[in-house]
Amino acid sequence: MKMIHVQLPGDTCALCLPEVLAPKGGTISAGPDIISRLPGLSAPSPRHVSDFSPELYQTIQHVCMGKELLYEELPWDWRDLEPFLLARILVLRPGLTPTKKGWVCRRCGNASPRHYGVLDCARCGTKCSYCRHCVNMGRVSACSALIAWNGPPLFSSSPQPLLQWNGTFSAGQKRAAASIVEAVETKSERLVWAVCGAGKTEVLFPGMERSLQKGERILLAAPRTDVVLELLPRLQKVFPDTAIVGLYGGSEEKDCLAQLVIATTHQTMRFSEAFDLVIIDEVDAFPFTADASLVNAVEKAARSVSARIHLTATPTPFLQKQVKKKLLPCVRIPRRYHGFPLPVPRMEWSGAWKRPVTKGRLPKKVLRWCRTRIEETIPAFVFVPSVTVLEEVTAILQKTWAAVEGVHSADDQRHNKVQRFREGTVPLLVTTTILERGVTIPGVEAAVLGAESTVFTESALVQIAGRVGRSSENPDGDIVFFHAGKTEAMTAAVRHILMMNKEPLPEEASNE
Amino acid sequence: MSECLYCAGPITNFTTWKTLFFPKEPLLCDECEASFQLITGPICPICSRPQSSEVSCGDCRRWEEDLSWSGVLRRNYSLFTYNDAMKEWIASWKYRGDAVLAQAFQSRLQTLYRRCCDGAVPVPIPLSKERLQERGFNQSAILASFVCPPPRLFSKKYTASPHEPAFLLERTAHEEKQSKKSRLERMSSSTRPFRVLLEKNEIEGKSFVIIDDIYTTGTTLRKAAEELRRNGAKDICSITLARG
Repeated sequence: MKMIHVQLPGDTCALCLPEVLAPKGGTISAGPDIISRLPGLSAPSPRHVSDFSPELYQTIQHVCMGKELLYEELPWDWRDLEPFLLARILVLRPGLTPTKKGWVCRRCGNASPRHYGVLDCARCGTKCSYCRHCVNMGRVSACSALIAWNGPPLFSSSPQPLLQWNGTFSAGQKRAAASIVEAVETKSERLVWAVCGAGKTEVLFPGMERSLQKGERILLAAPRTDVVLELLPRLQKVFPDTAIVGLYGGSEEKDCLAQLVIATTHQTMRFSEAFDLVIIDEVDAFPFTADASLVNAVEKAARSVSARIHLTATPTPFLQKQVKKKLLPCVRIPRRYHGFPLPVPRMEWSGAWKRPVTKGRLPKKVLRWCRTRIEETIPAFVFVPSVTVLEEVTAILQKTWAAVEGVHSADDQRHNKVQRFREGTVPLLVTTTILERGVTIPGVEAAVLGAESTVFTESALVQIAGRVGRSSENPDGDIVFFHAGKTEAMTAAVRHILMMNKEPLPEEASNE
Repeated sequence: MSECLYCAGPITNFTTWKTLFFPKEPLLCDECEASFQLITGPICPICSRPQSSEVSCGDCRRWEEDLSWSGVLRRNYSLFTYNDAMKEWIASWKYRGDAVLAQAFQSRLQTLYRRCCDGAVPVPIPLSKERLQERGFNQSAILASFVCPPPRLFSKKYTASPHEPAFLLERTAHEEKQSKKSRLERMSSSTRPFRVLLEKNEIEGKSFVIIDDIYTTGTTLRKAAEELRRNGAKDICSITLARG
């Protein structure tokens, strides 16, 4: 589809329209050409035209507001959209913008030339480049237009209390919650650095309520689908009157206009200038730090003036540096909700373990550790560095204890196995780093086999140690790093935990 | 370090004498490469279905017993079995629209073409106008553009004149996607979905190879072949990427 720029009589600037909609009486100022080759247009305000049905207006608003969608993603024809485009309530923007080296994708921010492909495009009849990075969400090519809502916003403010939650805060949580409310009021940025099991989600409630009362939209971006699925019912319970939607790969409600959106970071790519409060859960988690374009996506989803909250137990060195330089205000919750200190990992040398494992034997220390856990019916995780090691270790353990299971990210039975582990029918679970976050099992203990591997970074090891001692009945538990030589990451992880345990609590701090 | 075209993971390539003298960048990583299953061993001599013996399979026997279909399509050649990995791959390529993924199989398709139907004119299965607009590209045309490479310098092996893919056919009606129909629906639809675009004398006496992405029941390929046959084509075979 080729586009044109049309100057209508009495209009201040040109309109971008598809070729098929060329209106009578307008002069064509540019085109017809593929949209990414047309000159840029200044930011226009809607014109006052009102010859469209109010029902269609409402549905289009619901689908398009705060997003940029491809024509192929919309259920309407260009003819249906015509009045809205003429009224500039919907505007067309090029999906790809040319740069010196190639292109940059408006939806995902991909600018690396090797992540672009070329195809003989049947829509525009040219050799068309397209972004391969976000092609799974529908192809954005040089001839694609992204359709954005340019009309008035939807939500209004309401002073009524919206939060229905009667839990209590620990001292650390109270301080963090107050800081978040302040960030919402002043539209600023905060890092909430809370140990695993501090009750991070609850800390958000007062700030979210304040924001919703002001009629703002909230985005809660989480690293993985599992986390979205876990958060959605919890938030629906405490904000029963608010429209909340969960977006993840394969979710159904793609076009629902909700005031509170919980989404995986990939799904945030569809949004544009939509949210006044953006909360990023587990900022340091894969794939958020691994993929620069996701950072870009969250950046784009937020309004230019908006509050941003970063939640994490293990800030990246970059974030820590920003905190040190006082560029990013930080509030810490150094104690768990139950008030007990974090279990400190032990390090055990287990020798060269790789060869024995491929030959079907586990290091004696590791085997002994597993035996005691299974015999004393203590649920236990064994973290391993890779899927191949996982399969070998699981096979070795299954020879003695048939009920032992292993899970990795590509395992279809993953949720089922974790569920059986929760119920206690699986006594010991061998896992890769996928279970390092978000899994809470009371009384669990953990071991890391091959802790010297590079996949076990400081944050991964702190998160693994954070699985242990989550409940107040069992605040302690064994966490061992079996290694063949200490790494910087291992000592840093232990230092990190010791530092958090030493950190004064808010009351003590105020007494000083 | 290069990146896998399909999973974007790293490709580790070791330097051997062969790679030193004939450098060839692999496009897929070892894991992706291993997940696709090349058709080897005994196959049906007509449709390339992998099976335990070398006699024609039940479906092909049924086609050949029917006088109106007998011999319409001499033979089908396929590269891969339609396993889960291939299903997933085709979904990314065709439905999600990552058109360049097909490059991963370019050299294999070329080899297959040269070995089996060298010299035949490649004919891609066309899409209807609506489907072509929706998808933005014709997947069979991409595959067809692969089979005839530009002639290589110093190569004496390749003597037959290379053919550009010929867009000989068009769809007469916009049909429901084949993949959304049942086997019975596909085989029984008695319509003629294709029409030849050229004059009869340009087709008469020539050999053609019809190119498509998947051979499932063989109905689409046979219907296209019948149309060419009616216009006097001498020999018609087909190449598909996968055998469903």
